[in-house]
Amino acid sequence: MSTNNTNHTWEGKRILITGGTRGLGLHLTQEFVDHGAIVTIVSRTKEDLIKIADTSDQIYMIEADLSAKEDIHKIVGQAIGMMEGIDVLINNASSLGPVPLVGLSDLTCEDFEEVLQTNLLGPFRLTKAVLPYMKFHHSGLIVNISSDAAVSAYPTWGAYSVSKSGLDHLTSIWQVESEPNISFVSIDPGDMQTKMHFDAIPDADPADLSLPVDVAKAMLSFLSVPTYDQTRYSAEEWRAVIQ
Amino acid sequence: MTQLTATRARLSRTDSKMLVINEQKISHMTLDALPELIAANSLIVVNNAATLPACLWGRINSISVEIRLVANEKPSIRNIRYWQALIFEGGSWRQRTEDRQTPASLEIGDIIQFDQITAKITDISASSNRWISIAFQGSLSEIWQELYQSGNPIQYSHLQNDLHLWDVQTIFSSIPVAVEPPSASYQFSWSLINQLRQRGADLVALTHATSVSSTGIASLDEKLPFPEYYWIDTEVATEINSATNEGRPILAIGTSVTRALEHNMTKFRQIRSGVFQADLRIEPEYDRKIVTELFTGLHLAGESHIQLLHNFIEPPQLSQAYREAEALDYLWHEYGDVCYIR
Repeated sequence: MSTNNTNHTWEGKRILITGGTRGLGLHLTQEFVDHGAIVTIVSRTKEDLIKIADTSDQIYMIEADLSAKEDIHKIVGQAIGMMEGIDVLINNASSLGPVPLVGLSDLTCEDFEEVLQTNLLGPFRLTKAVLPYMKFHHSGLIVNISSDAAVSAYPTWGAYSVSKSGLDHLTSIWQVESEPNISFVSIDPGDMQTKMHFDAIPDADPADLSLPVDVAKAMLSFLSVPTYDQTRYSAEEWRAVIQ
Repeated sequence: MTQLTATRARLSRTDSKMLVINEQKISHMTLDALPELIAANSLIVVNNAATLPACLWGRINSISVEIRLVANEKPSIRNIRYWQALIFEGGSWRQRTEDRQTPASLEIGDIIQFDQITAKITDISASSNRWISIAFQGSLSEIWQELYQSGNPIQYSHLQNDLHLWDVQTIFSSIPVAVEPPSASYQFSWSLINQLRQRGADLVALTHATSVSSTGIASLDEKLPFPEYYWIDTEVATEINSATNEGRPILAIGTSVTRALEHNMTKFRQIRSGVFQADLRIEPEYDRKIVTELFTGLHLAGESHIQLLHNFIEPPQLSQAYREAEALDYLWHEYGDVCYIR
């Protein structure tokens, strides 16, 4: 059972989002800013960061690689320093590995490791680094962006699936080891019209996919609810909560 | 006998040797025995400062210089533009700080070029060219980026390897304001903290911007510890005042916590929240007002920390304890073993 004791209003909240320069991360950033939050975004690409950070003085940027252990305190130190604290961490950035996707028999060990570094170890390390601040402030929210691939076995999605499955379980373990005023939640946003989705499924029909901006708006409503009854929400489950 | 030195980063080792000095009794345990030793109603106060990569390399014209940030001149977390700093010409941390070179000719207004930004020298101490004030140029966002892209942790020649940011954070590291780590907490783990809580102790944090432990210039080192800013939240001040009023033991984890609490109590007669600058030197004769117990590392003779320790225990008793610790192969320095003074 996960309990979030705070009914979030986003005004003045300090939020760190990995991969906030495109897709769902970009639109979450814009939604949070529109609701008065201060947001720090992280990406490896400085040009992408500048484009977004230049749109609002409520957005800070950090050029870093979250798959690299040595960049973790670089991210957290800058984020807490620039925002003078942190209330929410959103582990949004993900890697599919090389595309077109290949089956496990053809997946190189190095490519598998790279996906785990970004999708699983990166969120673990970031969480570890932000938790002391949240523990001493008796409050915090950590959101891990998951996928239905975490629970369904799709051919060729092996590394990504395993990493998201691990991320879901990581979320649950952090929660049971943590004090109740810090909340951990893993969310499957559902299929969206993102570069990542078309990289994985080039012939996907856009009509079947949600727009990231719509998902971001709905997800903000979901993240505003005062309590979570579980640590993992499928796309259907979290949307049902906000109906 | 000689003192052994911890020469590598070594963290969260609850099997570290623990020198326990209890009134007239000296005993030798390991850190994991701490929950059995403390009073059940203790209030433990830690420093939750995170450590910045406060050592930056740059150039003044064609001269390669190392800048070590010493103290933020503003009582601010976010505004890291203005610093007191040390400057060295060439060399590396592998040399003793005392053997490092100071640039021969420096002038106010000189520009230090870093990777992406610059800093202007705004003041040079009359006592040494090594001690300067600088103002970083550029936006605060650019300064933060430069610091974390180009900076490294400050370190000294007793270590064998380059330190990384992970090596200089404690389990409590939250607010990036320290230029050197509050190393008394290096060997703690959250499992140990949970045991201390189960024993009945409470844990609170203040944030103390720990400064450098050495400049390499004797006349400057005499002034250590330098004035340091610290922050105390309202809830924490209330909790400490309640504990003090109830006569509960106040266990300070580290000399920086001791200094902040004693400075605050001396100034206000009860703990007040806010940001303040600790300019107090705790010497043997100082009349201690709040901290009843101290947890710290093992310190070298001549360090300012020893003066603070002599406020808790008589010099002959500390010398005896250290002689026993030497004989039992305790490790000295920041990554070494620990000492609990009751």
